[in-house]
Amino acid sequence: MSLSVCVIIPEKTFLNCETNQIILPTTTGNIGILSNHAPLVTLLDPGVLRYETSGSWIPSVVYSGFAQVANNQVIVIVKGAEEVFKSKDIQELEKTFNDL
Amino acid sequence: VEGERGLFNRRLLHTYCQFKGGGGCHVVKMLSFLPRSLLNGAVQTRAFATEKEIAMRISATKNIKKITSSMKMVSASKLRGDQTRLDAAKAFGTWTSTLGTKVASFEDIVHGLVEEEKSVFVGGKKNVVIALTSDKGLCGGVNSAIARGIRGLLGKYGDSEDVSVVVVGEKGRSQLRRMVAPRMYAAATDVAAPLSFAFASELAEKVLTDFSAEKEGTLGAVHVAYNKFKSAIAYVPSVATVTPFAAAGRGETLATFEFEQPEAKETVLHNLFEYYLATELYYGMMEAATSEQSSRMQAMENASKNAGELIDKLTLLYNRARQARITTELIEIISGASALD
Repeated sequence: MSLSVCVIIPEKTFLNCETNQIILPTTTGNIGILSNHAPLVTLLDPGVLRYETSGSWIPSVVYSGFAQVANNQVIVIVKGAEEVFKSKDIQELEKTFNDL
Repeated sequence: VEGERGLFNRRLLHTYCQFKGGGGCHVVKMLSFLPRSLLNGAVQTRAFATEKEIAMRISATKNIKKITSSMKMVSASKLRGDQTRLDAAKAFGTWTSTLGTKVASFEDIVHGLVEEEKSVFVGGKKNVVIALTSDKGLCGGVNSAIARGIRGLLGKYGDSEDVSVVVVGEKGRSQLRRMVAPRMYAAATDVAAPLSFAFASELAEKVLTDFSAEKEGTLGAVHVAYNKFKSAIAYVPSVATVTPFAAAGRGETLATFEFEQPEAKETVLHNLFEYYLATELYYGMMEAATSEQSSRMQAMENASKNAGELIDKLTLLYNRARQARITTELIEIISGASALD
């Protein structure tokens, strides 16, 4: 687990985790960040942020903001972020969607 | 004389004196008839409050005490909510510390306890002071503290500088309107509480477009004045200074970082600065709201306590008046009865 990721929104810290790889939705497309990445500052568009844990990718929806990468630390500052509900059953997904 | 209003409007003035002498209690009743016309020019003599008047005052004060203590409880519960929001916003607010926000209390700046003793204002460029105050009153000294701090700051360092003041909150607006009238630029009042990040970003955008419209570099610094929440009984009026990012040159911001969109570096820095300012504003608003609630709680607590003391004093007066009345009635009855004998 080489990268430490922190996603911060105005109301709270949305996400705080360790991962090997993270995909950020920047204004010029999706970029993947691996360990020992050069220091980077980038604008983020609203999109899907994915990070990898034990072989599987966990997505979350983020709104626009910034990301800063330095010393194997990824800090994502966005206006908002949403959890993603996953399920293999289409009925369950529809039900959750209608409940929203 | 009836019919002639105003001239001979007679009132019966009773004056009761009760004094203790030796082993007993003497009650002396003096009657004085004074036409009202004689009173108007001369010294105003007030009738000694009757029992009923004191009773009315007591019940009014009891109502006030009920209101202030319920306001205190409402403030206490709102304070809890504001404190949770503030703690949650702390994480959001700390990322800006890497970008160089300077926070100092008004006390330190104006009284020169900061070592360099230099002005927070950037010389030769525009400075904007954003004051965060409340819309509602009855909150103790929070708003006057900010207004006083700004006035002192402008008085000490702001004479030759181009400083504009933006106010959030009705109470601050009315005070600063009188104190620093020529510099007032805009005011945002009656914004629905709790203040959101959306409002903070709107305000940041407005300030940046209005003050650095012509070109980058005209805006020297933005100063956010708010009450920093120290504890439930203490707050510190402070000002956080935010300076725009330099895209190149000696003070280049984030010089060690690469930009994913290098051709748009200026835009990225501009957007980042707007976001940074919005964050500082949002964090300041959270602190200001928490300080306001704690101050209101304290003010209402003091008001209830004072009302309680006043009720005790009035009750003693009431009892004295009641006893005087009873004694008078007894004397009348007894002297009436003895006259028959």
